[in-house]
Amino acid sequence: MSEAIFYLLFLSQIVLFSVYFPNKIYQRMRYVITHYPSENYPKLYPKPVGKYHRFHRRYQLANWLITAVGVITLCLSMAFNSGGEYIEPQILVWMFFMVQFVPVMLIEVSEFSQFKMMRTADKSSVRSATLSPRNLTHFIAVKWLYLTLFTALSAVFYGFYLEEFTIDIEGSAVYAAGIILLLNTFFSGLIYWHLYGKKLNPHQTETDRQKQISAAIKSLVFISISASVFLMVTLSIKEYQLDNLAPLAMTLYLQAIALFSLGNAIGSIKVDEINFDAYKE
Amino acid sequence: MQIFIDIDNPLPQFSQLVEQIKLAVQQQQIKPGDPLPSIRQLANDLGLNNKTVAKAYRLLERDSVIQAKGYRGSYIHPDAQKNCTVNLSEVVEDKLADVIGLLRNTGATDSEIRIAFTKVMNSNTKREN
Repeated sequence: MSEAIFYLLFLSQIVLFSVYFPNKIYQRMRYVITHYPSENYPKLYPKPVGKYHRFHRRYQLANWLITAVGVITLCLSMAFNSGGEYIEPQILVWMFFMVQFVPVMLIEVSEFSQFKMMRTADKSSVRSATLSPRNLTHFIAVKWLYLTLFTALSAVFYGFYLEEFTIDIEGSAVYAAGIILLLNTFFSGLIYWHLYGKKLNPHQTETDRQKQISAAIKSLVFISISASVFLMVTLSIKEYQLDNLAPLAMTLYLQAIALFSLGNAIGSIKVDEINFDAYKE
Repeated sequence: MQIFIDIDNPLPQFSQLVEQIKLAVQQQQIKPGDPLPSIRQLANDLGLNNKTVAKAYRLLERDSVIQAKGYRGSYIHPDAQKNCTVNLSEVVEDKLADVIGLLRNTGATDSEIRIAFTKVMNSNTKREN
């Protein structure tokens, strides 16, 4: 029964991260390039337009290939790896997630390069800034920050509770505490960078920038909460020897990451609401 | 409220910042008690050096247009509106012009005045250090 649910959830991971969200992103990219052409919005295209078309095609192709690989992996797994003889199902899910993540990384890298070219091409001597301070609580409700802290502390406490509050350097509790600490320190750094870091896109309006900061911070906070919950689930699975639930927990966690990162970014930054006038000559 | 810095403007960037913040206070676009962005935020948004923004904030603080509240950041001074009208640079220029006029009347040459001014400034700086 749990095996059938696992295959269903794995299929859902393939569809969500390699079909549904990539499709949304692809449509978005196509919408921008057709509705805001380089003739009217030259600042949006520091590279020749052909390169953008090529990139869109490659992005779509990469996702099609990954979907095909995913479906084949799923079929092979159902046929030959039902008991995890060759590879642990949760490792399979994790490895496939890493492959699914490649196109997202490609977009991120290409975005950084795009902004760098925009900054190089920007000949304007006038720079602007808002005279209002940006604080974390402007972008996310305090209750979410408390919940992040609560789940992180709960995960650490739960780990030590399962080990009867003994400190074993090689134990799961110390490992969980280390992961929580590292992850949240890294996320705090990213949030700080989003709030106070250099403006990457020289033409972006303050309103659009605030929307982008808000979406990024919400994603990071929600992923941090999911990670703490996932750690608690993993500790329980290990403690109560519910090993057959481990792959389910893993794929659900990865899908939560997809929802909170890509889903949140797509949902909260509507392409129609972006001020593209900033990219006119 | 947006502020703009023109990097090609011969007026130093910190002076542009000071002038625009004072203007915003005078036009009541920012009110006493309003918080200001941190030095790092403003410097990164404008692509300026942190020291440039810090210098502007220091001058505004000296003129009691803003007040620093430690780790909580900088805020518009309660008397900012009144203090914005005092331009210390103008006061200094006026006083110097009076002194230079007086010295010229006594027969001192511009070169003598310049050398004496530099000498007095340097000796004052050394004493302060």
